Amino acid sequence: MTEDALLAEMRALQDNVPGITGTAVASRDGLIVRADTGGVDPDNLAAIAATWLALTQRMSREVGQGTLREAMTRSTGGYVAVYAIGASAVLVVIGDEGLDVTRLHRESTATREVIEALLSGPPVSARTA
Amino acid sequence: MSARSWGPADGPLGPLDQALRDCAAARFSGELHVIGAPGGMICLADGAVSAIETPWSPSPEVILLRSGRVTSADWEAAFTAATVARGRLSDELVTRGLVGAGELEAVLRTALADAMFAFAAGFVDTCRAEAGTPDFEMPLTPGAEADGLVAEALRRMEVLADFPGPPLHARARVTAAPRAAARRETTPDDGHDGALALIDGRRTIRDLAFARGRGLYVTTLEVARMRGNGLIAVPAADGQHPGDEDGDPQRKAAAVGPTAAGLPRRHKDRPAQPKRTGDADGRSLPAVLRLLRPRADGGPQAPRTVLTSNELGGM
Amino acid sequence: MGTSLQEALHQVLAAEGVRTVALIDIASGMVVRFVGEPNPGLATAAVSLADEARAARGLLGPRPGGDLEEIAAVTDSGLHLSRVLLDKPGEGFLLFVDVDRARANIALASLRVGQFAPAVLA
Repeated sequence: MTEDALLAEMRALQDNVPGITGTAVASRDGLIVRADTGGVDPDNLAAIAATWLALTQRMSREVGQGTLREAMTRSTGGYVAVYAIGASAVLVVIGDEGLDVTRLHRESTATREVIEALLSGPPVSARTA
Repeated sequence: MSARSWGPADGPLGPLDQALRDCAAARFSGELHVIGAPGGMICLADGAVSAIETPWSPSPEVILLRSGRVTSADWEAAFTAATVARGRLSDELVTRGLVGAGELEAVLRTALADAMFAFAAGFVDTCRAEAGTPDFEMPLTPGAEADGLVAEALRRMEVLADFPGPPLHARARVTAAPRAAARRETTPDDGHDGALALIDGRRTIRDLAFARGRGLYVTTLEVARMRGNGLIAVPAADGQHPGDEDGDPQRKAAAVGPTAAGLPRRHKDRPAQPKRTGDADGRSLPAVLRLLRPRADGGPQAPRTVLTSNELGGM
Repeated sequence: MGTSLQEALHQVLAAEGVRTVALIDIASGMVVRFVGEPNPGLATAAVSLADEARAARGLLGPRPGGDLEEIAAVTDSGLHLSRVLLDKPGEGFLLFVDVDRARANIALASLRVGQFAPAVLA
């Protein structure tokens, strides 16, 4: 099941980066594809994330900064980051105050590639290392 | 000593032990980068430790905020004022009466000890020193003697080693045992200072520490006690999760502590293979899965295909 | 000139018969700071005292009159007084004082410690 492979990839990211408390993959039109967020409402999360990604990508273009890599909020209680997955989806990462941000930058790239392949191609197995 | 590296070494702290001693002898000021799991950064002033950052140990800010000692509104106000006045956040907090000077120093010192413990509990691969005058939010001034922090970290490792059962890994997920539910109902304070309420099967020991605003060490102690009381379960070092009903093979969790030969374990945060999944968030899988595929003409996105789980059955 | 915490501990140390003063973190048993005579048994005592404080609190439970205030131990050469300070964050601290019995009695020492305790974390 693609859904299982998606979750496995999301879980792998969470295991690899200390401080991630939840992840979600949403469609660009704001619908939740897969959520692994514990208590956070996935439908609200998906809607906000899709809008936010679109806005920040627009901002990047507006100021002539090329392709958006990551949009991140930092609050007293932690972080939320969104990433584009190809042209069709959004990856949301929620982390607490101790999130290893540097590590997230590194690890999210591979995660995004795998998820993009899972969503747009024939079924592929999740990465195993 | 302007720049220097220390390669892999034996012992719970790996090369960090020697690195700290060398920095103390040289009265080094600057950043000591710790590469490992966890990695982090140690800020040194005149060879003494003034601040440590690591993803496994809550910072003094997290401790003060999460415990409710300082409200986030008061914190933000102090932070803004300190930044504008180019002063120290610690001074601003004390001036505003948000925290006592002695209390803040105690919090800073215990946080440093906890961060050092986090390095000892994890795995330090290499260290690299960069001279300079780093700018940290709440440095301990004057700094703490590194050898005292190291001794305290090792003492804590020994205390934990005395608990029965397999070693507790900071990133192992903690699950409540069936007994815990009954306990929560009958004991208003669960006897573990609210820790039991936060255990949801997702949070690791490290996550619990951050969620409560307590140190990694005291949280690990609490978890060890709860495990001893049969209230919780933690996956053992070989990755087998006791009480896993459907028998899914679990990801291996790395063990901490030296191997039988006394050598440090090579610890990797990265799992050997991704965990096979059950249901992620306790709800039944949706009957319909929408897949979006980019349109060939690059036009606006719209769902091209709606597939039922039956149709997906072969995927 | 030391920090506020250091000076407050020194104030307690200045009392008659006081040999060692230490601030102990109850949750971890760690000696956060100490002043006075180096005491080789301090680290071990700190862990035990912290455990005792937690056990006593567990026994006493929340009471209308208040929580655990002080632990006193009498040894052949000294008095160990541990006064509980502050609840948040964490489980609080102990202000530990080692007093020479030949030079001060328990009542006097306790009084003195009680006078200076509030200043330690302030």
